[in-house]
Amino acid sequence: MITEQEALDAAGRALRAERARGEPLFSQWPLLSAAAPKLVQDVTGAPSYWIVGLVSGDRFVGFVRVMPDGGIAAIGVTCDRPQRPETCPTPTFALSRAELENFARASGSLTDDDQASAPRLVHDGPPGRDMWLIETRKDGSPDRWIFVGAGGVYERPAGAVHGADPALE
Amino acid sequence: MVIRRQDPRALVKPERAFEHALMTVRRSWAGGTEDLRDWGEADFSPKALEIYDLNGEPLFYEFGVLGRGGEIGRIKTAASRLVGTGVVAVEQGERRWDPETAIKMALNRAKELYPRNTAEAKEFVCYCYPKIGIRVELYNSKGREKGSVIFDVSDGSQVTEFGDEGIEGQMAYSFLDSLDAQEGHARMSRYDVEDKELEAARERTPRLFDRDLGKDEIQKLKVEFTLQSSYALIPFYSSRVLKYGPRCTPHDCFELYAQQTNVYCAVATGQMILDFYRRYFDQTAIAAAMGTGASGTSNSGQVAGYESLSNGCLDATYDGSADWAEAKAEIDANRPVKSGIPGHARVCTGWKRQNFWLFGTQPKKWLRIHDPWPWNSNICNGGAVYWEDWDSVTHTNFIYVRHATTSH
Repeated sequence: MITEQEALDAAGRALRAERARGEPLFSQWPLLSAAAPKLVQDVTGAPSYWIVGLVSGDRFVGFVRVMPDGGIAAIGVTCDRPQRPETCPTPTFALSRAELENFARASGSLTDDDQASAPRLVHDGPPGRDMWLIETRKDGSPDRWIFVGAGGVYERPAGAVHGADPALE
Repeated sequence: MVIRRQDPRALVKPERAFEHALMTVRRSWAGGTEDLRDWGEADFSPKALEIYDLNGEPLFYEFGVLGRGGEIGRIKTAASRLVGTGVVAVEQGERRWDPETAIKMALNRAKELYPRNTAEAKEFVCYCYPKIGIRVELYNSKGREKGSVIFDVSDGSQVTEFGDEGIEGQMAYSFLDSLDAQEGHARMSRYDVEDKELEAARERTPRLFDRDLGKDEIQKLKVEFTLQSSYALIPFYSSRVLKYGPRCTPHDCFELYAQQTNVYCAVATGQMILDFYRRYFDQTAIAAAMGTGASGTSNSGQVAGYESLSNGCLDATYDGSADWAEAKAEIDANRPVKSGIPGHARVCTGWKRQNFWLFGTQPKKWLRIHDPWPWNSNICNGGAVYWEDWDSVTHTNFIYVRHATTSH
């Protein structure tokens, strides 16, 4: 797995290359820069890839998904409203720990009685389905997986993997 | 049966081909192509290896690229405008076969197989791209021509299967004769565009084509050699995205929607695709039509949903062996494609492909994805649009959604 700095460098190169090619996705955001990479794990905790946010002013409006070898898996935008950047949704990976726990509590999934792990950024399913995972424990064993994102909260019994049924999407 | 043509129809002169090679190498180097970082200061072999089509027309020129220790690669350029591009391939490393050795091997094989004839090596032929062989002419004892045979340059094996209907990679065939008139015309037009680009480059940066640049000079000129978008007619990449209306001044046309729940990826994908066809439904209605359950949506449910929600005016077809070229074909026909990866559905709305790549590697390919993830109950506040490296994910299926052929 490449380092955080290498991931940042790779994302910067990818962004510059897209700009040089005149990629329309980015032409509407002329002042993009790459933010600090965040490591995304699979639900079991194994590191999978780096997600590098693309920032315009104080808003996250895009991302680069950097693979363990430094290859670029995906690069794109999460907002197409440059004239109203204040309406751009905060991407899940950019949520703060306080925001995450507030969301989880507001949804009723997390209570003061729960023994909860620190949130970790995971992909719930294939790469790209990024969510924060909070694991609760009961009687010393993993109990529930609470997935928190900018759009909402859902939960499953701990250990239940999304996509276990290959016939469903 | 291949008819040998005496007169080439769309010959590219070696000098012109060399200029295409030089432009490609220097621009790629100046543009920072990692694998060509040593090529900027490299020299080129003075004479090209000529490779012919099976029908006898010149097909490629191969120029050796020389580093300090010898050949570090080759540029294969078009010798015929019918090829459709100036530079066909950039090959790195030493050639795996030696022309002189290959000729000796072919003549020895000819003597073994046809002992009563005399043999003469005539030319290198591309008999099944990228396979190269040597055409050997056979003569009887009276010096009369008896015909020709082809031996592969790598192992000396005789090429015996001819035609273009056989298994890919097995049959020898004429590349140029396989092009119909329309395709030939289109390819020559593409080549001519590249030729214009070359002239534009010469006008703007004449020293791009100077063979005698010293190392210091070439480093100083690096910035000038970098592809300038103002006159770039040959892109390093080709791409296409969905358009609204194919005529006049079409604009990009596809709307991103977030999935409203964490299991509505196929539903939101359906909403985006149905919207494209001007059939507007909310995600609740689509989920009902697709039979979405607590854990997601089956592919058969998705197919049924597209067809029922369009009253049969749309045909949906499941393809369990997703291939990049199939997605490209749909986009070229201006149709979105549902792209399945394990446990997730998205929409493919464009394709992109590298135009220059190193021999022995695959060109990089991407799809533009309208992904309904991240989910959000407000469909306008989630999802993402991005270019995805085709090889970075496992592709499980496509669903093609097309207008039904029957009237509705």
